[in-house]
Amino acid sequence: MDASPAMAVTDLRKVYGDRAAVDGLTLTVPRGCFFGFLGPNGAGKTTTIKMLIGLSTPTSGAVEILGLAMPAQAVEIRRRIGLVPDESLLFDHLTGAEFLEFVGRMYELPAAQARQRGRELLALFQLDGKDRKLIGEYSKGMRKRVAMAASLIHRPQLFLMDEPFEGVDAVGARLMKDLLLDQVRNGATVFLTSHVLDVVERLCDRVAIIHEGKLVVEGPIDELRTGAESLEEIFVRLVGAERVTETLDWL
Amino acid sequence: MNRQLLAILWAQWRTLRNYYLRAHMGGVAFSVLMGVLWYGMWTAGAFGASILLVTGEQRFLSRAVPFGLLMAFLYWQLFPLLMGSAGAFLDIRRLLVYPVPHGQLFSVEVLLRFSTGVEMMLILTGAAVGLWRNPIVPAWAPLALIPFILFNLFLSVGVKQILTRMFERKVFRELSMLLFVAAVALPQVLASTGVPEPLQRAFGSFVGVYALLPWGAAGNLAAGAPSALGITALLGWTAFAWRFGRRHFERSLRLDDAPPRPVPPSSGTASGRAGRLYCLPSLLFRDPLAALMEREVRTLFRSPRFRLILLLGCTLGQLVWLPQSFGKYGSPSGVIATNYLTLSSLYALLLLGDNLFWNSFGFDRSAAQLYFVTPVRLATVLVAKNAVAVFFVLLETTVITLLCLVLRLPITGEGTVEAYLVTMTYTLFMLSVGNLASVYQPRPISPAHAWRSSSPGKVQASLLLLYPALSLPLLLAYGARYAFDSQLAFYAVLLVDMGIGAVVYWVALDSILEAAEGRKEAMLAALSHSEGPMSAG
Repeated sequence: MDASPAMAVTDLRKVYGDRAAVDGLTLTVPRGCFFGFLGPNGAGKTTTIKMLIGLSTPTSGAVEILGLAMPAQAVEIRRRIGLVPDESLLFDHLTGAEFLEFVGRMYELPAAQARQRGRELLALFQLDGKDRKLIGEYSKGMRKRVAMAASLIHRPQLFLMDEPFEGVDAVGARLMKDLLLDQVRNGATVFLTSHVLDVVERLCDRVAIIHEGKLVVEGPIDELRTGAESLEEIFVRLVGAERVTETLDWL
Repeated sequence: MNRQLLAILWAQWRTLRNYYLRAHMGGVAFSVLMGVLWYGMWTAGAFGASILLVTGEQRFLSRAVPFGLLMAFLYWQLFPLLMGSAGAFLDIRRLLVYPVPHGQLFSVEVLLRFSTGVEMMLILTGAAVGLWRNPIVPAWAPLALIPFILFNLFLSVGVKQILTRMFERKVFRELSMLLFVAAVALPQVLASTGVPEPLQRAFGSFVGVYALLPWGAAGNLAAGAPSALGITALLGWTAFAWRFGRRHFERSLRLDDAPPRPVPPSSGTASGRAGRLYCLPSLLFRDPLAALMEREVRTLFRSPRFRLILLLGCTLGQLVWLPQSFGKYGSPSGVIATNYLTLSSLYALLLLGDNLFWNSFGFDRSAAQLYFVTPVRLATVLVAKNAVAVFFVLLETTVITLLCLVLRLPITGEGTVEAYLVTMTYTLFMLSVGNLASVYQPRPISPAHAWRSSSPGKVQASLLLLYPALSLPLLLAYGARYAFDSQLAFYAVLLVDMGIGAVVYWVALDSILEAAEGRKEAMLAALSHSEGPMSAG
């Protein structure tokens, strides 16, 4: 097995105008790890993921995914990663089965195999029986499920997920979590962002917290806890959020 | 063909199939009818070209073919700009996450550039058939059109990417558009005003170069006059266009859109003045109508796409009609010159059509559901949108009038009144039909995409059938003026038209509200949908 980490990010910076969205991020994600990448809104999580998959060019710094350099080997990297696409990346006028077949074929699976895997994934995600329903007619949770199914179709070695559980019902979320844990047990790596901290706490081996583009802390989740502190408490303490004490008179 | 490319084409085919299977049949039939009419017209043109070239003498061919190719080149590269349309293109943002080599994406993008030049492909096919059947032209000669087509496709990729990037930058976007408009109009201005003597001399010394330009080289070859230099030039131009297209396509793959910057607080500056402008409806109307109008004005003014169309409306009409009317070959007492202001205003109105009339919920996209969940009557929403449309039409007419005054064009007070009345009458009929289209065929429009029409086919179709049909009441008024040789008759018919327009508007509004209630779900779904792996713009 390749000894290189699943992901190695060195001094990554992305500057828009005079504002750094990501500022000197250095991070190593070992293979076979369930990694939580956390931060408040606007912290730079999505920008980081965009740079990791080559959708955005870093201002400076280096990214290596599964031992391959981004962006020089971008196509090869994309073949090996499973991205749970942002909802806006779905094609609303395709049915779930058509979308999965399309994604499979984009990963160069033969059409028949892509179709077959798509059907099986739809069944797994309890989306079968909606053959004629377009993705545009899906509920938010169903869209997340089909996006998750799309990330699995080519059996990737690394999953990159931006808020995969957002809007998913308890049954769907449980299914997705079990699937991801299975993948990790089989040697895959999961890198996810989420605002649902108790889910991250239960699933992840390691977490990194980013705030205003800078890495605040990174390490195994157990080592970050001091005493009985929950991940939520650690998070609030580190990003400096304060409890709102004032209320509006009219409210 | 590569598996991934086939997958993209397959997904696009399924997208279109799913869309049309669920679309309103009336709308589909209308689109098909318009397509048949539009492309039928160009097919007839191709026939004409074929007949013309099949019997042409060498002297005629050596002049006509390069000139025809120059026209094809201008149409292919500039017509999309004039129509505010980018044709079909890959939705890179959604395809770049897959492991597709960039070279393959470029190949698909090149093929998609056919969509902006289907008309020219028809004409060139007709021309090729004509040349091939012409006994004095060698059988191989029409093959020269192939590199010329490739040249246009490659160039079109690059031009589209440049324009898209230009139009994403504030201020620069508006300036670029003005520069482009000026560049587009320059040949026409020169043709109408006559080329100044020094310029003629300068051009004269470059006559030999014409044969080396893409249309000149391809035209001479296609007419059966080969030369080593011509072949080299044509291949060179094609290679240059490929390099240019590939380079700019590659740049477009860097999706580094700057995140939205926080809006600085207004402090009596431009934004403060704009804020006061937005509040104008509150001075004239009561809420919720005023609030809805304010929101509409803010949305439109802040949309780069709408601002560009507004700018085009004010300037392009001038550049299109001005040389025709007052140039070397125009006559100040001619029909165009005497109706100059009216024609320019109507042209501006047509450009605004897609955003203000035919698809008035387009910018709202999924937020349109707010109209169905808040305690506001949909009638109020439509009236607010229509009132804002009227405001913008009046604004454009006013700007055009002022421009005419600045340019010291011979416009009269009566001509100005006529322009306003005619434009308003036309607007009334456009609103009635536009509201219907907005409910039955809503399509989401991204306000951020400055250079994309939501429905280029529809624009062409509207130009062909709907706009002339809606102008019948106006023709009646002009007919009355001509028949009775009386301004009074003209204004009387125009006022009757306005009255009829107002009645039609209110009657249509009632049935539209009923339709909107019934089609609520379909409307909101259509406004929330995204497109397939390819987009049309």
